[in-house]
Amino acid sequence: MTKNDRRSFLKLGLAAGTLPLLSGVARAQDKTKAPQQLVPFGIDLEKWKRNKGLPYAEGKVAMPGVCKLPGPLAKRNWPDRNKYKGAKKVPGMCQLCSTVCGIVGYVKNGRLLKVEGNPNDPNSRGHLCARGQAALNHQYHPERLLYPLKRVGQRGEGKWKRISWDEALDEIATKLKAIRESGHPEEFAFHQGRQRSKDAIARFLTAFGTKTQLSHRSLCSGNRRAANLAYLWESDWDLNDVENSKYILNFGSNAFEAHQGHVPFANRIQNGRFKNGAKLVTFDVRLSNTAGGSDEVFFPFPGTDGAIALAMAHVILREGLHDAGFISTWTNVTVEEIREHLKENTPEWAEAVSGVSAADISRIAIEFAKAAPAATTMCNRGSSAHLNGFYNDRAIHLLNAVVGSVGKKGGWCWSPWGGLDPIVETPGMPEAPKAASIKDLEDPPEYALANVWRRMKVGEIVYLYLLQGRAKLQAYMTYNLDSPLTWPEENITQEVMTNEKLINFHVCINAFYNETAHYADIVLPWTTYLERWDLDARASYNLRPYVGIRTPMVKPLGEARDIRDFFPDLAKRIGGGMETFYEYGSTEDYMRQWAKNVPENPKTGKAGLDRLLDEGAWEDETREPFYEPYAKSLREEDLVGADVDSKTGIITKDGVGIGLMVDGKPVRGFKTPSRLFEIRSTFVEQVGKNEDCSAMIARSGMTKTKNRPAHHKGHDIEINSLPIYYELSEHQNLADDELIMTSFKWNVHNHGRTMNLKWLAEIVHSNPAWMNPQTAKKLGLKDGDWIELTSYFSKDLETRSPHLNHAAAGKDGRRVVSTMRVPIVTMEGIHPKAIAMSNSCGHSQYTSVAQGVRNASDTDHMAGSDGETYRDADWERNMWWEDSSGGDPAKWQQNTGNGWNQNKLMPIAPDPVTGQQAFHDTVVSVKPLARQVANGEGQETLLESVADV
Amino acid sequence: MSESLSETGADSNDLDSNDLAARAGVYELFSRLWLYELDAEMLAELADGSLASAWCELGGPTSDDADVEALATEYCRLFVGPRDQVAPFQSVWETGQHGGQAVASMRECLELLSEPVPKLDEIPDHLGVQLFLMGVFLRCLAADPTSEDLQDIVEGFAAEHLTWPAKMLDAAAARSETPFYSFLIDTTRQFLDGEYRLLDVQS
Repeated sequence: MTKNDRRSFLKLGLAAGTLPLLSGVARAQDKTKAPQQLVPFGIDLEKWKRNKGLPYAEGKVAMPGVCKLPGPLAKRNWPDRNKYKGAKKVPGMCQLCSTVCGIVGYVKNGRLLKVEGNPNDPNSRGHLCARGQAALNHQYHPERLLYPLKRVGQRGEGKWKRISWDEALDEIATKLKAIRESGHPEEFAFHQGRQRSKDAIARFLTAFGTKTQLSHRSLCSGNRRAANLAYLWESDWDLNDVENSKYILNFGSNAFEAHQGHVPFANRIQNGRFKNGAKLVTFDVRLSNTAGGSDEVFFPFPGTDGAIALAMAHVILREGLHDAGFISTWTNVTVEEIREHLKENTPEWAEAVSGVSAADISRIAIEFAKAAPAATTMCNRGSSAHLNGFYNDRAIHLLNAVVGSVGKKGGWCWSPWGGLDPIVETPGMPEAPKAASIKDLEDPPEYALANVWRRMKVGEIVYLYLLQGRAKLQAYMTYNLDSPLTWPEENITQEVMTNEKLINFHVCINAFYNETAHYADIVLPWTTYLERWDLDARASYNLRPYVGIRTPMVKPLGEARDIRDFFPDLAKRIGGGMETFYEYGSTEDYMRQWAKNVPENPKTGKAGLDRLLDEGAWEDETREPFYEPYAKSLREEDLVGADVDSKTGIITKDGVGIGLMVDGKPVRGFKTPSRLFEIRSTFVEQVGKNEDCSAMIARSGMTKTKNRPAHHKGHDIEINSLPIYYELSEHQNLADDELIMTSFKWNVHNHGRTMNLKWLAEIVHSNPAWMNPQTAKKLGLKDGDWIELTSYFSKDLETRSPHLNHAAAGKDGRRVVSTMRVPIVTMEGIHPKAIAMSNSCGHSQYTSVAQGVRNASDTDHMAGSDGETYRDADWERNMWWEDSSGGDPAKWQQNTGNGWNQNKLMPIAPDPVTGQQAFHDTVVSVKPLARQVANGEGQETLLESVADV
Repeated sequence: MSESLSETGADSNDLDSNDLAARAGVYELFSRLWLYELDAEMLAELADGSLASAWCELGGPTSDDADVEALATEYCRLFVGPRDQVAPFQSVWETGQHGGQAVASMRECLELLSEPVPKLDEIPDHLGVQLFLMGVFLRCLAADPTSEDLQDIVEGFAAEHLTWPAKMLDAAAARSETPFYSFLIDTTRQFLDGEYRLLDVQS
């Protein structure tokens, strides 16, 4: 800088010093104060002296902050024993997957230093998976959203400007107020991804008057839930008592890596195996870590789990190993009826269907039956995310009834508490305005079982229906949702989200700029789960409910706010009575009211919120686990005024079922129309045909169960009342180059929200396709080769669900979804007719980490490291997205960037019965690509088909 | 105005109140420009107001280049995001994430202020907050140029919290697409370079 420049700077500075505009800077642009009211800042020299200089000057005070990792020369200093000295332990609950494990945060000087499992959490018992350990990446990510943003350019163009919360809320309120006053509040749709603030969302939507609340449940667990509900009605979630089991029969569940009950379930499975001697047998098309960690593994043909289960039931009955007492007393069919129903489902038949040998099927069935009642099945998306998934899971659950392990210790259990202990009651609300929904989106009439017991919705059809003009949205608020990545047919999601005629106004609430935010008009920076309040719990494997707490361990970063914080503000701006829903005081007041019934801990004297803040979770240990609830005697007072049907033994009171006479004694029974475990579900058959099921519903006592509504008329569907195997025609007679695509989750990722976390992305950041070596050999491929995948729409659905057809057929009569070029890894751990790609990968947004953006090497730029003793080579060289191939495609197997979004290939494919997305049924054709074809310039690479070459 | 400050370092005994106040003014101005988008009022001050002359002398772009909306968009793209931004936070550039040592240190520094500024405490290691605080320190020193404590604070603060931005400024300069922000980035670097020499600190 020249002397003249410096003179100019000083001149500028002197002028600036007199500028009233700048006096407001430090008051954060507080324009309510006139400049003359603002006195110059002073500083507290005494305070500075007391601290003997700048408090964190190097070498003076141990600094909180970034975790100092040890280098090879610093192992003697690892772990740093002083690191957590003085840190406060704050309870919370993880939310990096759906399992919501209890956690403890170590907080020092306002900085979160570490997160570990909370041993007080009765479900997770102090365990925390790799995702949970990456909480620090989530919290302090350099690309977190810090401010509200408003779109400036075209939607999806990626141009934004920062706005204040006031501006954002004013604009949103203006839009929502107009919609509310238009008489069509339902045209405001709220679309949630993983959400754990159900009460806060319900309060806002109730106050507004819209029931158009969309979810992703049908992309997750609709079939399993519906199968459970068909048997039980009172619960959609089987809680297999694996810890007390002797035999665990796993159909396609990957509990060791990614199940909804992940850590608590995996912990109990291993306890069952290694402390209780249980055997774990897995059927899966892919060698997941659960399969790999099992005592025996079988690789059935995709989607044939139900056939194997039915054949096992057949064997058990044939061998006389069934529990005749349970079947005759507690189910609504006889042994002979089941035997007759399963007579064709022999092990030999199942072998022909599934490829698993009849001998193995028979042997496993016999072992399972002999271990009963301490024997249970377990299943999840592996069996259920199919077009025949409802029936698969019905068939699997049947096995437990046949051996009499339903509700037994070590058997197939459930609980009526899907979440919080009902002792805690959500603070009340004023009388709600009349609410409506956009029926075709919220309860599409084609899917009979999607919403009759519970609101499972059919999320995957939302964008298609909007495109088809079946609904329109004036405003769309997305919350922790990444549908462009996680929904099938990515192109439709993108097309609809871009179209302002279909979605007039889109507000996205998220902690990171993800693929959904990219198509928003306003983006609101959301808090992380480490910065907000919730009471939370999952269906517990202890078979009794509990209460956990999520607390703000640290202050929100930047201007991030939680919905508990800004929904009241937004409601007040919308007005019209909405504000009356938020007269409970502060969020902490609300939480205190919510938690007030948590009893006192006699040791600490703390109760309610104080107890939860102290311990993180509370479980009523005096409550008995939910074993054999059906056999519980009814109390005399329950029977006052009750009637007993002499023919069925069903006990009703005021027309509502409360129990069943068994052996002359009044017992609770099951909460089904027959008060029995419903192997034959007349309800599903009749409700499928839109028949009136009111009488059945009344007998069950399940008041939330409904007939299908009027707009379902004309959408009848045949649903078999019994567990059957439904064979998918499109999976038969596949050509050599045709495979069935399956998807899976890694143990370090959830579907769409973890690839931005460096520690996890270092472990898994790409998803080449898994192919069996036999298949590869047939196709002339070897490990690391590239292929082109072409995916097809379901032929089965073309006729069963013609409303979904939206793509023209090609010359060969087939309708193509999309094509994708990927490398393969060959391994024995995949069925020869399956091809597997993980989800979680292929982000086009969601931070540079998730996108695998390659940066220039910068030796001075180190992350999470101690500059003196450790160099974080990953960061310096960006190892996991580094192109180590040097442009040589022969080496591309080592360089797969950030992977591919498998959902580009997936068609929208709801199970016609429940609406569950069939993620594991897509037929793809495989075209090998040339191994090494350079364009001659040494940089780019052309890939062509072998045939072309 | 005084020109008593040398180019290569100043003896504390030579500190001149006017110079200190002028430097404080530059810090305050840059703080404003780094912390917030330009509004019409600020833009007018730079183009035609009391700052215009000195601004132009330094080569600052005039109103011809200015469009508040476009500059706000550019500010957002460069420093806010939501993608590929050059985040002007010390922790991000020293540790690859938010919440580094600099945050705790800056929070302690902000607590020295006679009046709390909650807004600035949200992410206190933002360059704009650091420039603001340096302005306050210098203004205090201008009022009492002989205070060794204040001199220590100024030098210590500069060493700890104003020597990091070089790489960030390089990255921002490479991404900037408007004359205004190119100028701001470049001028901030020039000014800080001068300050490093003056305070005898290493960048």
